Amino acid sequence: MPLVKRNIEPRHLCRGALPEGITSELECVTNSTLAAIIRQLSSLSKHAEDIFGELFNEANNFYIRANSLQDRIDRLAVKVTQLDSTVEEVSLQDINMKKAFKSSTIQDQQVVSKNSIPNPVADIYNQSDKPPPLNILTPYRDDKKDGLKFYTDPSYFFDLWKEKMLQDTEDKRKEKRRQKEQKRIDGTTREVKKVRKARNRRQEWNMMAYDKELRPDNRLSQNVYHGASSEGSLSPDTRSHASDVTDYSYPATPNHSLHQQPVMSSYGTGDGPQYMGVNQGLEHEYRPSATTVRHATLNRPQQPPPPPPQASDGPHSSVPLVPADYGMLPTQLVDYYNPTGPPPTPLPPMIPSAQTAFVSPLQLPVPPSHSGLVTGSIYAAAAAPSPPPSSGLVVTASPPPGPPPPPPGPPAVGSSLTSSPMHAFTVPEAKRHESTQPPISDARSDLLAAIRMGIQLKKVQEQREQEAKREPVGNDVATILSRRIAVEYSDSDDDSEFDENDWSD
Amino acid sequence: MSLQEDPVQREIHQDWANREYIEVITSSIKKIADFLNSFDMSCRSRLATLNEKLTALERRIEYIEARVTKGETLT
Repeated sequence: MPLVKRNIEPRHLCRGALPEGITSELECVTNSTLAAIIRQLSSLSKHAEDIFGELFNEANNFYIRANSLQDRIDRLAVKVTQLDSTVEEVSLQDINMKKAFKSSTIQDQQVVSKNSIPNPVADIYNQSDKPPPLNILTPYRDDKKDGLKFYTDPSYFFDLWKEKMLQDTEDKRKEKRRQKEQKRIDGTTREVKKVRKARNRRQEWNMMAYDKELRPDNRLSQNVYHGASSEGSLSPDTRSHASDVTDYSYPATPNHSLHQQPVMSSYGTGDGPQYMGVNQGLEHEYRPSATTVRHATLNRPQQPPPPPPQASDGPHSSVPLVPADYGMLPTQLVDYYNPTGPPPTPLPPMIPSAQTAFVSPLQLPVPPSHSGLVTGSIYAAAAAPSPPPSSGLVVTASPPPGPPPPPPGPPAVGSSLTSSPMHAFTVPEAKRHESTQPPISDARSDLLAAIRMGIQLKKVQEQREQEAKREPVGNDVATILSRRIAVEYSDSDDDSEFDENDWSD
Repeated sequence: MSLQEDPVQREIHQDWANREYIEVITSSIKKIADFLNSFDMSCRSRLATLNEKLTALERRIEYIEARVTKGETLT
């Protein structure tokens, strides 16, 4: 039987007992009936006032929202008229690299609970009998549970469901971890492939960041490089040019990656050799632009396995690449020193892309924060200012890897580099001397330490995840459900992405 | 007899009249109650429609604001 929300109080009009000693009983009944009618009318008016009050409150809320919406529309209209498409300075890279738009959707939760009880129902509830006062026994319990919960617990079913959801999410995550471990145990080749795929994805995204016309193509030549090197300043005026150059430099690495997708292949194929000279000179201009940092990191990549896998991304690839990089760097450094006079050591003819990955000159003498960034410093040291393509060294424009592009270093270095290639060598070389020798040995140990830390961090993260799950969940149905669904339906994607997130950051 | 019946009859007639009067009143009360319930339901449905429209509008405005202000914040 449905619960009646509003009851009109004197339900029966004529059933009251008649007082005694009355002669005209019929009139008495009539009068009492009329009196009951009046009471019914009063309760009816009370309910009507309650109904209209609820409707008024809702309509009032809508009125407030509509008013605020109207204000926003007006402001938007003004803004739109002020917008001028010709003046807009949005760079195409920024569009895709900014945080994606997410509208704030408010979901109704706990709709039928004690908090949302309407007033008449609350009145009926208060009139009903109370449960026995078992709460007074609570202080005397051993297990510190609420005494009344054993008799009647309104939140019982919700707690049950919440526990079940959380348990399911934990179980799913454990399964995934087991699967990951199994995959890791199976073989390292798979890891290499997976890593490459991830990097390719990033490259794809970087490539897709540009419009089709702006994607790097084969038109770059040495002239661009010379022109860029002669520009000299890293002002925003040159940034557009630098950005163009960097666009060209981006595909350098894709050229060499084996796992390139067909979309990228068209851009990558012919670009490699041409970028060698160009990229070297342009990279120093390029580095300071923080926006391109991410793009640059993706360019490093992806060499075929025989030389140790050269992870492009700084933090991402820092671990596997660093040992290879260290091996590469001294040779590269030596090459850079050639013009200034240090005895050149015969470099093995490395694959150009591999070297470019290293050379991606972060000419940052200042070592960045991450341990992975230590490699960045090494890269900076290796970043030759525009060495002519001697010994087939190719400098792919790889912007400083990852998170904090060290701002002060590059501009100074870049400017010096751009001024004159030969002069530029002295300054960065000195820095390189300083930075390369000590950090090489330290970076390796740091990297190993970072690897170990990474593993340890993962375990701690798991624990923290478990704790985090349990602590602040509260009664948020939406978040619980979203977590559960996310764990369930994002099986394969989450693996690689999770790995990426671990390394990158 | 008729005299004795008359007051009783009148009383009974009067009682029937009163009851009819009371019946009219109570049926009117029920009509008022029905009207209030149906008014409440229809108002709630219209307000819900309004709410949906408002929500859709708000989301669109949020999106447009994000589109329009993006260029500004970049500079």
